[in-house]
Amino acid sequence: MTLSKRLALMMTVMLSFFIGLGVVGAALSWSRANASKREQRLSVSVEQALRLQTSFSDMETGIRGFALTGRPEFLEPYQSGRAAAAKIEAGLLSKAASFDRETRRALTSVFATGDSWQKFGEQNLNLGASPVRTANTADIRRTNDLFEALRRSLSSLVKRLSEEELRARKFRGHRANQLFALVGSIPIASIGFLMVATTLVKRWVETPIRRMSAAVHLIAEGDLTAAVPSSGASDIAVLGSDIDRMRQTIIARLHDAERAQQQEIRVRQAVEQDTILTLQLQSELASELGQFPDGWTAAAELLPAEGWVAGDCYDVTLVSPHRMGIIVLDIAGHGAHQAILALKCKEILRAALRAKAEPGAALHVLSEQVGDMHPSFLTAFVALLDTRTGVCRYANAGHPAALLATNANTVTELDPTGPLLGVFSANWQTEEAHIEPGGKLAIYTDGLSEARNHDDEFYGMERLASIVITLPCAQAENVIEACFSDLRDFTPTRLHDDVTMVLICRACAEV
Amino acid sequence: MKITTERLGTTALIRASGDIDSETAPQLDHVFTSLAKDGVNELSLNVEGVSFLSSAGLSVLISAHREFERFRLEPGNRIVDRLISLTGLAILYGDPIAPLETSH
Repeated sequence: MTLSKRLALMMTVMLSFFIGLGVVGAALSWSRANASKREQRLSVSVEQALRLQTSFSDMETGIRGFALTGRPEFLEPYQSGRAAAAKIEAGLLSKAASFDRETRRALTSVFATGDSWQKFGEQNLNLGASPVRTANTADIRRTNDLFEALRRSLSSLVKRLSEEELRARKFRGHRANQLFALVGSIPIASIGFLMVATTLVKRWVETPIRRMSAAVHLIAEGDLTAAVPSSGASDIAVLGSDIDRMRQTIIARLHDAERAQQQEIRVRQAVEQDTILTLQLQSELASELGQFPDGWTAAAELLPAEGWVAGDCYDVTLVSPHRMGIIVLDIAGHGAHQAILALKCKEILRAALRAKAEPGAALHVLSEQVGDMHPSFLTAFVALLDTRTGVCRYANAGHPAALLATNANTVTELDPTGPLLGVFSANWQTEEAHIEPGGKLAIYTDGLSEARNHDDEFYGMERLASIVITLPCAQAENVIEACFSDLRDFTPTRLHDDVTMVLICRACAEV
Repeated sequence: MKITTERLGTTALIRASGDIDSETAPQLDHVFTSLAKDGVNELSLNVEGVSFLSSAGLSVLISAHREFERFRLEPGNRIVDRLISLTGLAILYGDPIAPLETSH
C-alpha cells in the first residue's frame, strides 16, 4: 500500500475513533441529563407523597372529630385536606408514567385505599349530612382500619419513591463518572494515537529510508556489494528496489566495461605480439637485396593484403660468385601459416639452388619436401642467372609469366614450365632465356595483375609491361617505385591479395 | 557470384557466374560439400559466366576434383581457361559427364 493511502487510512481510523468517542460522550451526557430530571421529579414526588400524608391526616382528624361529636366544624379540615389531597394526587398521577412498576403499584394502592376510606367514611359516617348524628362504634372502627391501610400504603409509597430517587441519584452519579472518564480518556487516546502514528510512520518511512540511505552511502563510497533493502510503504519499497536495480545495472555495466577492457588489453597484447611476429615475418619474406656484380641491380617490393601477413615471398641472392638465384613464390591465401610455409619453401629452394640444382629440379625437390599442400598450393618462379653472360635458366610452376624486356622495347613472357605445386605430382622443365644489356626481368605475383580499381577493372600484365619497358634501366629501384606508384594510383583502396614484384636490371653496355 | 544447381540422381551440374574470389569461393565450396554429402559423385561445373577466378577459387576446384569420383570443369571461359593453362591444371577439365553436359 502506498504511503499516502496508509496515512489516509490511519487518519480515517483516528477520525472514526474520535467521532465514536464524541457520539458516546453525547449519549452519556444526554443520559445524565435525563437521570438528573428524573431524580428531581422523584424528589418532588417524595415531597408530594409526604404532603399527601399530611392531607390525609388532616382529613382523618376531621372525620374522627365529626364522628365523635357530630359537629360540622370538624368537617372543615376534612374538606380542605381532601381538596389538597386531590391536587397532590393529580400531581403524582401526572408523573406516574416515569415511576417504576412497584412504585406505580404502590401509588395505585394509595389511590385505591384512599378511595375506599373516603367512600366508606362519606357513606357510613354520613359526612356532610344534616341533621347531625353520631356514628356507631363499628363504623368508626372500620374507618380507622381503612385509614390504617391507607397510612401503610402511603408509607410504602414514600419508601418506594425515596428508594427510586436514591437509585436515580446513583445512576446520575454513575453517568457523570462515565462522562468524566470519557473526557479524561480523550487526551490519553490522542497521545496513544500520536505514538502509534509516529511508530507507523517511522516503520513505513524513516526506517526504510535510513536503511536505504546506509546502503546508498556504501554504494557512493564504491562498495557495490551493498544491496539496497526495499521495505516500508509500497512506493518507498519501489524506490528501494529501483535503487537496487540501478546498483545492479551499474555492476553489470562495470562488469561489461571491465570485460571489454580486459578483452582490449588481450587484443592489444595479441596485436603487439602479432605485430612483432608480423614484422619479423615480413622482413624474412621481403629480404634485403644485396649488391650484385657485373652491372646488375635488383629491387623488390612486397605489399601484403591489407590486415594480413603475406603468403608471398621472394629472394634474390648470389648462390655462387656469378650466379644469381631468383625466387618468387606465392602461397594460396595469406596469414601467419602461409607466411611460415612460404619461408620454409624459400629456404628449400635456395638450398637446392646453392646445391647447384637446376630451377626445375629445385621445384621438384620442393614438391617432394612439402608434399601434398591441399587445400593450399603454391606457384613459383625460380631462376638462376649467370651475371656474366645474362643467361637466365628458369622454371615456372603455374606462376604468372615473368616479363623479359629488351633494350629494344620488346617483351617476352616467360610462361609456366609446369603446373602449380603442392597438389599434383608433376615435373617442371627448366627453360633458358637471355637478358641483354639494358634488359629487365620483372617477376610478379597475381596480386599485382589482378588488383582491381573502383570500376572492377584489373590492373593487368599489359599495363605493368608498358611501364617496365619505358623506364630506363639504370636502377631497378626506380622502376619498382614507378610500378607501385602507378598501382596505388590505379587502386588507392586496400589490397585484397598480396602484391609482390621483383625486378632485375642489367646495365646497358658500356659506352 | 551466383550459383545454380541441377541434379539428376548422383549427378549434378552447377552453373557459377560472377567472381570466384576469396570472399565467394567458400560459398561454392559449401555447395560442393553439401552435394558430396548428399550422395552426388559426378559433378560438372559450368563457368561460362565467371568473370574472375582467384587462387582461392582454384583451391575449391582442386578440392572438388579430389572429392568427387568424377569432376568436370567445363572449358570455354577465356579467363578460366587461361588460368587453368597457366597453372597447369588441365586435369580439372576431365571427361564430359552425360547427361548434364551443356553444349558450347
